Amino acid sequence: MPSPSEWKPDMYVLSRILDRLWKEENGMMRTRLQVATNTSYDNLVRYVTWMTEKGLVTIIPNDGHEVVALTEKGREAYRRIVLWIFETV
Amino acid sequence: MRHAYLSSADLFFVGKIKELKTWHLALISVFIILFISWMVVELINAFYSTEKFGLFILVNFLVLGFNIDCAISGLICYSIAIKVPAEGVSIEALRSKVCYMTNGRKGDREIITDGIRIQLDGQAVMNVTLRNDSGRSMLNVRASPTLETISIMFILFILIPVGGVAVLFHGLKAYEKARRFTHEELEPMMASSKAEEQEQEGPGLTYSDRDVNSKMVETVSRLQHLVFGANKATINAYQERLVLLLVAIPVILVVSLAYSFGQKWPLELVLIAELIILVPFLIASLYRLRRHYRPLITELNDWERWLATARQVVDTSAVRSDPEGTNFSVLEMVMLASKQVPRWIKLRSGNMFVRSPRATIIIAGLIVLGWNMRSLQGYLGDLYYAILASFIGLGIIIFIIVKLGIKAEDKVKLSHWQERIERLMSQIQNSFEGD
Repeated sequence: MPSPSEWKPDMYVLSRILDRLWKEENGMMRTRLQVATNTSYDNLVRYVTWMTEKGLVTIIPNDGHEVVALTEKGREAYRRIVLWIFETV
Repeated sequence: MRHAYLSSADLFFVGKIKELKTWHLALISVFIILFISWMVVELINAFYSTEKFGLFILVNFLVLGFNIDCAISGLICYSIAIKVPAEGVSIEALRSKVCYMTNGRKGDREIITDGIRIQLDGQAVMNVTLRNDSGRSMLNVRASPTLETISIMFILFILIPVGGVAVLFHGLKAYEKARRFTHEELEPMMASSKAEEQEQEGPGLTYSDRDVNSKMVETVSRLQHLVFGANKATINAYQERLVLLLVAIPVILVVSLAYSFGQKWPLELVLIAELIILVPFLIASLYRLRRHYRPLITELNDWERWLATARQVVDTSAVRSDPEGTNFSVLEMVMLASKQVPRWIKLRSGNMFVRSPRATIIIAGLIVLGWNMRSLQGYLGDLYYAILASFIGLGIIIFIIVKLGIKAEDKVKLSHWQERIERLMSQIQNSFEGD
């Protein structure tokens, strides 16, 4: 198994998470996000950790639960990707 | 969602047909009626011909339509009297240009992106030009048939008696498709940016969010367009090959049987020998065609369905009602579909007839010339076969040269698109990495 520093996230899984969180302004609980993005829980945790390190998402405590939400940087990344695809095709 | 897909063949006819007045249509109708009556007369004549050659004429007429005028010499004047004016009207209909105009907003240049260009561009037999007139906020899309188009249609018209009706019928059908394309595809594209401003702001949506959403809708719509075009072109190619195969085999069979009448060969033996060769060939070819095209069409159908779902999801998101129970990611789908774009563009590119009309005309000319020269066989003797062989050789050489040229052109076009997509993917990757 690659070390965390070697691990390369899959672009499509990242986009799936980004896409789901874009629609949820107040964020989503991990379990719901896991179902919505069709990934295993362990995998999702790994992706969320990576995205948190990159400043794309943030973890917000909410009623004893942890909610994953997009940061402004994450929202900007989503906007940019959509515009790039729009310009390319 | 309905799409209006314009093939190059459709654009042949987007000429003056749009501007035709009632009396033009009435004239065309008269010609169609005269054509049909002429065909019936010729058919009856062929049926009642007492010579064995009559059967050959009938087969020719039904399947190829070649040389019917020469064969039934008594009707030459009649057919010329009908065909020439009809050809004149058709050529006139193809000659002039059509202009699409629609109200745009600022940034028309931005609206005419590659997605729209693909739809209008690459029509080898068309002069398609896009003109921006931002001062008057107007987008003009001019489509006019080239000289080659007119020549091809003229040759088709002369060669095939039933072609006259087909040309006119297809012309009207193409006009309808062109109209739909303008009204249902181009105009909404132009109007979408205007509608954006007037749209009521949904709860919790900032302007930029709405902007992103509308860009996503448009991207999905363009991808739908591309896959629809690719699918349609693939289905057409499949059907064309099927028809060609199913027509060619009986033609070979009947023509060779007709020839064997004159040679006094035992017909049963000829028929059995031909069936032994042709039937397995037909079955093998049908199987090969099916094996090649069916998976491709199924895959394209799947893409169409997935993109339709993406469109549905993105439309639902636009009004901010959470599409509960769906884990469909539009962004992921769009990213995956973008990678397919070069392939779809390749599938959409037309066949040789459309891509290189000049060569098609020359090859068709050689075939017709070779066919017609058989009447001189008696005078020329063995020289006839030498000339025929040189025609065939020349045709094959031209065909190979053109095919190689088209292949090279496709390669350049494909690599250009692959570069675009690779650049996009690395941009996205870098965006995630935060570089």
